[in-house]
Amino acid sequence: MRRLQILVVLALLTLAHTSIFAQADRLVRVALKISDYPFDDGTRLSVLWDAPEDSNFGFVLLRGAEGDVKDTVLVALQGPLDYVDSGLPPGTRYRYEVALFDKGGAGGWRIPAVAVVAPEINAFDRARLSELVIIVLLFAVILYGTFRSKEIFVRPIAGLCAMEEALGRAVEMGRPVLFSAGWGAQLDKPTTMAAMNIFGWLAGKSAEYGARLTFPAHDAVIMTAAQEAAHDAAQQAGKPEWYRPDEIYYVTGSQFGYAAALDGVMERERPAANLWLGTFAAEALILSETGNHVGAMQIAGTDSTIQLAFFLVTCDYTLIGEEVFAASGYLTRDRLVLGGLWAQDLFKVVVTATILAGLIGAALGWHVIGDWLAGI
Amino acid sequence: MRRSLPLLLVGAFGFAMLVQYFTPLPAGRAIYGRVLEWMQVIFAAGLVLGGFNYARTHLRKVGRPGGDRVYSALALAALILMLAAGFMGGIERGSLFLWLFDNVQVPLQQTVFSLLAFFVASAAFRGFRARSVEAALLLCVALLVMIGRIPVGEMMGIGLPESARWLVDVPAVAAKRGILIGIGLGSVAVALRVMLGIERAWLGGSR
Repeated sequence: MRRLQILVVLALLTLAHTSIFAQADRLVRVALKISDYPFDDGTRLSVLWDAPEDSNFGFVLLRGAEGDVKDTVLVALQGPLDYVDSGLPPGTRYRYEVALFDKGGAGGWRIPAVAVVAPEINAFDRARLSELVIIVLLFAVILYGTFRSKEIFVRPIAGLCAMEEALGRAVEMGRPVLFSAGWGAQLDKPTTMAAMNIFGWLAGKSAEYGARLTFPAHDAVIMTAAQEAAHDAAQQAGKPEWYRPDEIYYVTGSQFGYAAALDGVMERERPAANLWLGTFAAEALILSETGNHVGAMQIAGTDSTIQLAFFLVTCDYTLIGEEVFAASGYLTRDRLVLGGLWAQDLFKVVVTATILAGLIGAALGWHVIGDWLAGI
Repeated sequence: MRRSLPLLLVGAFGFAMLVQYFTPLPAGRAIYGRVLEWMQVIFAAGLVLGGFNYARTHLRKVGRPGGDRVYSALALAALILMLAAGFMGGIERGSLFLWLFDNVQVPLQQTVFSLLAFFVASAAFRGFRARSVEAALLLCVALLVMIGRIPVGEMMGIGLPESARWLVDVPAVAAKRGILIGIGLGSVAVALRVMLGIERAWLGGSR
């Protein structure tokens, strides 16, 4: 119906827009205001249209770049309108016009250009205001949790408790501990950073117990960071001779090449324990099932929800999602890191309460929270 | 200095990236684009570093006595062959490099990938043993979903496909979202701790 209306308007405009233009000015009182849309990325203009609801005329909003004769039909208007014209390139000047037509089909004409405006880029994009508020709140809560001086209780996490057991098993059996941060991410991902935090702790304990720790990496940057972590950990443990750079080596960036290489390592070296901690993809099951086949004790932890199921059935212990991020504080008992965990839990309660409020609100027909959550 | 400079850089870049996410100013986008370019440079440099490390590791292993040295010799031979093919004949269509990639590397990768079918079967067999109430529940749900997803389930006419779809779309997604919320919060917390230098184990050792 709207398309037909627009087609009719265009047809009428073609026929008689110049001759009836004077009548438009006399018959209809309308106001059109175009302005830059505030706090955006410079791609929107705000269009405010004020016209009587009971007008005998129909209207169409037209937009054209300055100096261009071709116009784009934006929207058919009925009465007042608050419209955001989006997707515009920043800095380009646009001319807006309104075309009028008699609903009886008598003719059509245009109100001349009321504004020539260019969208401007602002310093802050208000479309991201919700995210900013959440990030600021989260940062504030985490900082408060980190620097408050109260002791906190952390529930025992079986997978983390078993890490020392894995090291002890390796020492007793005289076999290595195999560590992998997965193939799925680089060092810039928080999960890989969390995995490297665990690796740093593990290297220190391995040096202390004299366990052999080997880490075939899929990325040279991760390999270098791991070598640094192991080197420093050995120094701090007072056993610099424990560190051997060739235990932490680059394998390949190819996903299944990496899986095949680690399978080979497991078959040849028969590690006492495998630690799969990081972001994993399809290689997760190939690795953990081979580890199971060689009889290694296996501890896994990942943020890949799909791979969690595979780890759960093939590994002795599995850290689920956020437990990987909690590992560093849990293992080192660092009060600052543990404080952050308290803050995470507090924020999780807030998020859950907000979702519940949105759910109840939606059930009662009040969609404000639900719409806000959907818009983030 | 050895620790404080990396920490300072991580903090400065972390907060700069955070600010640029919220500002649409061209300067923010330019910085973001430049940082992405630097990441590409670091990645390329990492490949060279990785290549050297790969060669050094296998050269050492070749020099050691034992049956495993043959694998390292093969790995080195493959590295040299691919490097020579790439540098001397290029990597365009019809080149030796691409022929080797298509006819050796790709089938090998597909072979390893296809192992997943067998691994899924053996893992499922182990995972679905009803040793406890939870495991029995898991087995029942898995059977329901599996039968619901195949034509036999539909032919039985007792609403199995719908039940399977509901299980996958509602309780499974609810659990997954719960995990994802935890992961999101954990990621932000780790990122903030790293930016502020509270978490330093990734730099080596403890704080």
